[in-house]
Amino acid sequence: MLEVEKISKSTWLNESELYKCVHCGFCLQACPTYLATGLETESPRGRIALMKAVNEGRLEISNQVMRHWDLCVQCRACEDVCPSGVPYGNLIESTMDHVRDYRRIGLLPRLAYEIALKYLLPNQKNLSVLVAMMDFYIKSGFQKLVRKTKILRLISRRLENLEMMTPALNGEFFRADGHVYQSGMADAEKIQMLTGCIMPLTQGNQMRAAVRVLNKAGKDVEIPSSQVCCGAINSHVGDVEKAKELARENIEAFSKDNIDGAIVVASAGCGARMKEYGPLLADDPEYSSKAANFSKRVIDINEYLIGTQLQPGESGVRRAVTYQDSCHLANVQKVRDAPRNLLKSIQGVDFCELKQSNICCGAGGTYMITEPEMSKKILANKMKNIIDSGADTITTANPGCFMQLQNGIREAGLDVEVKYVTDLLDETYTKK
Amino acid sequence: MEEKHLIDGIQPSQGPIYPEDTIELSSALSDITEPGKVVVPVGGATRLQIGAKMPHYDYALDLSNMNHLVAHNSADLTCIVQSGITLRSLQNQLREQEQFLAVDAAFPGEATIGGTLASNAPGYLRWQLAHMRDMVIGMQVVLPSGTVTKSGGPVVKNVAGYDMARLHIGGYGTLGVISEISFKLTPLPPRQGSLLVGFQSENELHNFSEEVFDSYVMPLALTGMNEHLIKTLQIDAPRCRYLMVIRIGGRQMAFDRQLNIMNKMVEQYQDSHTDFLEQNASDRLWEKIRDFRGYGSISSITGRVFSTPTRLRGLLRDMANHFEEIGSTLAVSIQPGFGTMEFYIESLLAEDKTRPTQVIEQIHNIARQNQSHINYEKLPPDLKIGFNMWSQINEGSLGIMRSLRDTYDPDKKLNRGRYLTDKEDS
Amino acid sequence: MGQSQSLKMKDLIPELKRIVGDDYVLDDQADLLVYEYDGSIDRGNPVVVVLPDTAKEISQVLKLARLNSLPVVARGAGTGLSGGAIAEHGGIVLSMARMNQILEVNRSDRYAIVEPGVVNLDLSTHVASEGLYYAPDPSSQRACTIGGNIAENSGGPHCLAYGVTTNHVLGMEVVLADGSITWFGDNERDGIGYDLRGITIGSEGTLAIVTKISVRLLRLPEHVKTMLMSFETIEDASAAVTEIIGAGMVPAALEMMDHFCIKAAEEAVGAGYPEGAGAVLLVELDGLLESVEEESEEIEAICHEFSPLEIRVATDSLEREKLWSGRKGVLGALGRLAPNYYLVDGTIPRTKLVDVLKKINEISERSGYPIANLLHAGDGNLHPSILFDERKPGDVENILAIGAEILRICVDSGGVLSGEHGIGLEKQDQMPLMFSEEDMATMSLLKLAFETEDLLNPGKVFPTGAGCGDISQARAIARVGPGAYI
Ligand SMILES: Cc1cc2nc3c(=O)[nH]c(=O)nc-3n(C[C@H](O)[C@H](O)[C@H](O)COP(=O)(O)OP(=O)(O)OC[C@H]3O[C@@H](n4cnc5c(N)ncnc54)[C@H](O)[C@@H]3O)c2cc1C
Ligand code: SF4
Ligand code: SF4
Repeated sequence: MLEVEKISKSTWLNESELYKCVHCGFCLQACPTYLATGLETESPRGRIALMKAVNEGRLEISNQVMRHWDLCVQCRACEDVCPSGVPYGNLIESTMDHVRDYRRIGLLPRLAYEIALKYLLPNQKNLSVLVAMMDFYIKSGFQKLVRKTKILRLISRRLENLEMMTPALNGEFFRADGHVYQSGMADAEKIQMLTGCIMPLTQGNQMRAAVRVLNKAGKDVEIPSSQVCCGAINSHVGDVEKAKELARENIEAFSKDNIDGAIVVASAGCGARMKEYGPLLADDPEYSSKAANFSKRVIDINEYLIGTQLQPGESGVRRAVTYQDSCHLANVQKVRDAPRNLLKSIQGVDFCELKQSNICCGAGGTYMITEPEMSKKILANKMKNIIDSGADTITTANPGCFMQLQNGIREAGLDVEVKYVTDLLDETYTKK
Repeated sequence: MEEKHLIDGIQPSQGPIYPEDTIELSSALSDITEPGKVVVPVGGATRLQIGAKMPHYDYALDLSNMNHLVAHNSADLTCIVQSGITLRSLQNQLREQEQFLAVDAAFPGEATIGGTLASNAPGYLRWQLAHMRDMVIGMQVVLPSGTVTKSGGPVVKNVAGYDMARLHIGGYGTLGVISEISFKLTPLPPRQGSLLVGFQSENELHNFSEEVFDSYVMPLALTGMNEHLIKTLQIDAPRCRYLMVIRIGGRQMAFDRQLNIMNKMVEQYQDSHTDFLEQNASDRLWEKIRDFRGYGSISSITGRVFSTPTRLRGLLRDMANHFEEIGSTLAVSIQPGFGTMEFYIESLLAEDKTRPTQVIEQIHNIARQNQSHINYEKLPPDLKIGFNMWSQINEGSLGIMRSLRDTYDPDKKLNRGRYLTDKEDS
Repeated sequence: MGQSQSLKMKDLIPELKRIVGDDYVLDDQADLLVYEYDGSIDRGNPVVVVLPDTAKEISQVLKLARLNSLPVVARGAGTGLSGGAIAEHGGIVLSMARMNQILEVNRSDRYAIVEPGVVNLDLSTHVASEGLYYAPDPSSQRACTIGGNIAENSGGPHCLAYGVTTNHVLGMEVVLADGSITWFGDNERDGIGYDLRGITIGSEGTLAIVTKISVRLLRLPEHVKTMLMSFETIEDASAAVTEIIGAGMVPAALEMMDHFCIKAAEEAVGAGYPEGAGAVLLVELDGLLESVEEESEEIEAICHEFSPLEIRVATDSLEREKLWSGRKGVLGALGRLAPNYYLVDGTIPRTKLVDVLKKINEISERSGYPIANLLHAGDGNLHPSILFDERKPGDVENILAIGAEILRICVDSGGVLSGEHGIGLEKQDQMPLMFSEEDMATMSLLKLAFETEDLLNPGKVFPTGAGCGDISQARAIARVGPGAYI
């Protein structure tokens, strides 16, 4: 009679975490996929209900079920608003890891996927070759031709979407070469910085601006050379083992010479991942305490700058600025006020709040490539809000969000610039 | 034979019944088993004239002996009353504990609580701009069959079961007879008074009332009136074509502040005239306003329009214009906070019998054009014939209302032929 | 029966898809599973989930449902705590999620017209720039919909001064069971005829599907003051509440939490509640600056009679939010004290607070289950939450029995079965505690007057027939999934 009795325990989920969910529904309005569709199947509570049903043996894992999990952007906004403290991030990561075996995807795409995840992203050199090729593709004018003729649409929508995503490069690559950027100030504190994997290649200029601002704040900035990708994307898609491996490498890279100052991160996704190296490696006897210690040193650049005596340049900037919360900054790192307060501290900035700024833009790491349709749906709503805000500049805190917003703005034909907060701070010193 | 049981000139064929309590009320109803007999619940008989022309009735179920305050839980700001208690008697008893029921209606010495609720009687007092129905937290009702039922209870927050009391507020005793009511009470404000502001133009009246509505002032009552009404009521407001009366209450400082806010506002109106009445004088004025239910003559008309605050502008203008055109006079009051208007016509009777009907049709048109609804508080009996007393209600709602009537009173034992649900019978 | 039904279903699905579009009809087993619950303990599987976009579409769906004798259950955000949105008897779940537009805001007439799927808080946020707000504020306001609020006649902390949902709804467009579309009431504050608007509010989706709502908006107050008063014992705090109400004060909000709640809230959000206090009162006053000041002085004076440990006044909106954060987070935070909790919702006369709380405490001591007390004290609405661990054999049965006992105490003291969460499936079998056979029969006649087929949310509100507590428990237990108790 009791369904409870026939539960066949699957082991991939931590039950005490899973059953913290009392299906109160508080998370619905935080979830970008629910807001975009109105379907509870694409909501956090729904995704958890499916996990529970599978866990209780009431439901088999099918393509349909996996589809709902795949459509999760993993922005973790649901986790932030949950009154019961359901650790959704853990649940979905474990689930994605678990269901990899159930997937029946073609050998070729799978191979490409694995190559990208295992070799390209984690290794800056490999990635930079690819990105340079893309850059050539854009600059050669070939891209214009392709876009104009819409030739890719003939082959596949997905390919076309992918093409639309090709990042526009912003200046030279920023390399993790062990260099220490000096502030030039006497007894400046030395800090370290993570470059991440995407940002230094696609947004080299922005990285340099960030370093300059840190220098202005009186910090010498070291870019440790042996650092690797933070591993966020790997755990995102369920490759936890690779994520752990990368975490260990980074812990080593940033602990050389027994340095234990701040590790400043300009990319919110990486910051979030690295702040959670502790729990990730909790079962690793050798690394668990090192990881916990490492995580304590990690700090987002906005959060860090607020704690310094940084004075924006007097010339200021004249912009109507709004701010899009990067999910991994707001929901995971709980940093919301710092970027806003930095912006408000700049002379000439007319700051306006963005409606639903706390809702994900649909970037979600590789999500914009793997789930282009949903990603666009989410993005469309964002564009509407940007128009309503009346801003001419939108700031954010993560390279994924940055690119996604750029794409959305380009496609919607808006006259709005995408910037990091540090870009604007930098402008106050460089612009006359 | 009591005169109060005379409705549209009709007497009950079997005479009155005076139940002393719910049990007697119940057995009175269950004893009437003969099909076709009509029972009319009667309270203070102040509003029996409302409705289609009385065709015939057999029993006046007079509740005036069910007039007790059953319980007053002053520490809980609630009370339970029998439905036949008069408003005045109830308010007097509540006042001993410095509380009151935010419900008022004309002739409180006669009007009973039950009748006030059942006929959705207009009043001016709008605590927090709430409706009279918002004060009701529980109700005991005797169905036409004599069955006693209750809903709600003496607690201020309750969602257990359907909110049945709603059916009987404004139901004119067609679904059951209200026997007991639980109310939510309000503490008497320590300080009360009224501000009178006179204007030269309709526009100023509206502008000012909108400003008050939009400010932090929380009036206990707010009404505006035209010259004819000012004169008829003999209110001392020299040179004013329009008058706004605002009643406020509260603790001393809050009271003063509200008065200040309004006095500041008034300064922008050049030809305005203000006056302030302290509590006693204020109370007297409001009694005068409240108890004016229209002209006494048999041919007079009183109507009430349901609208929204801003629509009152067009409504008042169009009505005034129309009456000017036909060379007749119209006394009007508006309650902008609530979006209602009341109009009083002394007489439309002329040699030409068709004219009054035409005027009334025109009033209906004006209401329709201003997206409002009219309900007549009083119409001359000969105008009631063949005329729909009740404003147009959409078909869907009317369908459900008829179905409710058929469900709860299939024999139409209560108040047959007078309410909007019974239209086809009359 | 199953077969003939599924045959019909085969034709039904394409028909439904034709009405609302392919993407908005769900019938995959996995998809249906996601609509089997709400915020309560019950569960039930619909046959199909439909997400309409207009009243017209709903009308067509209802006609189709009637033709096929399929029950229809409206669903807002599914945050209900009494099982209202659960498709107990299968049938169609009609999700209002897509009907979420604010159609009109009329500032001068102070009303807004919204679709039923609009989230409660979104409305207030939307009109805030006009200096207005929508007063009923259930703690679930971030998620729950206005349509759901209407069905449950929801209240919230600030309903003490301003009233619950029914006091703020002017009119609504509904689709009746036969598919006809009509308005009950209007944008007007008063009307003619039976109050169909009023009777539909709180009817838990059993009379009509609400498709548009005209709500009253209030002006944002000039001044707000929030105070936190802590007392040594819960008796002192309750006595203070009774005294405050008795003195004729009507604060905007008057909330109470006992030491369990204080502890949980502190651990979860660090709202700065004093440790060691037996209970705290959270009092909020709003309105004219002067009246707030005058009343707060009086309230402080009253509290001093009960030797408060501390009285803290929030001086700015940040501090105010901090004080509220504990109250708002406390339900979720109870999970820190025990794996599960069962929240009971009942109302009592405010003069009985001390008495009833003492009795609840006795039950707790006798049974050994801790009971955390969280109260909308100002209007006597109790939320005793029984802490337990569903994995322990017998716990579920025990706490359900305790819940029933608490409700009996409420009713015996002149109170009622539910202050704001509704009857639904959860308490239908306890209705006889409060209502006579005649009362319930009279209520069910109302349903009959609206529809005779019993297709709109059938099997809710009224007792299942047996009218005995044991059956309700058995039923609840059978449907319970691990962990799911509120
Ligand atoms: C943590 C938590 C705290 C809560 N706090 C409060 C509180 O403070 N006060 C309070 O009153 N409640 C509270 N609730 C209960 C719940 O949030 C309310 O009952 C809310 O009104 C339900 O809204 P919903 O949109 O989730 O409706 P649902 O749960 O989806 O549905 C509730 C009922 O409404 C019906 N319904 C929904 N939409 C329509 C429609 N358009 N037409 C007709 N019927 C419809 C459904 O059929 C069902 O019967 C709380 C719930 C939780 C989980
Ligand atoms: S908010 Fe938390 S507990 Fe509530 S449904 Fe979402 S995940 Fe579950
Ligand atoms: S992580 Fe984001 S997308 Fe995924 S369920 Fe939570 S809120 Fe929705």
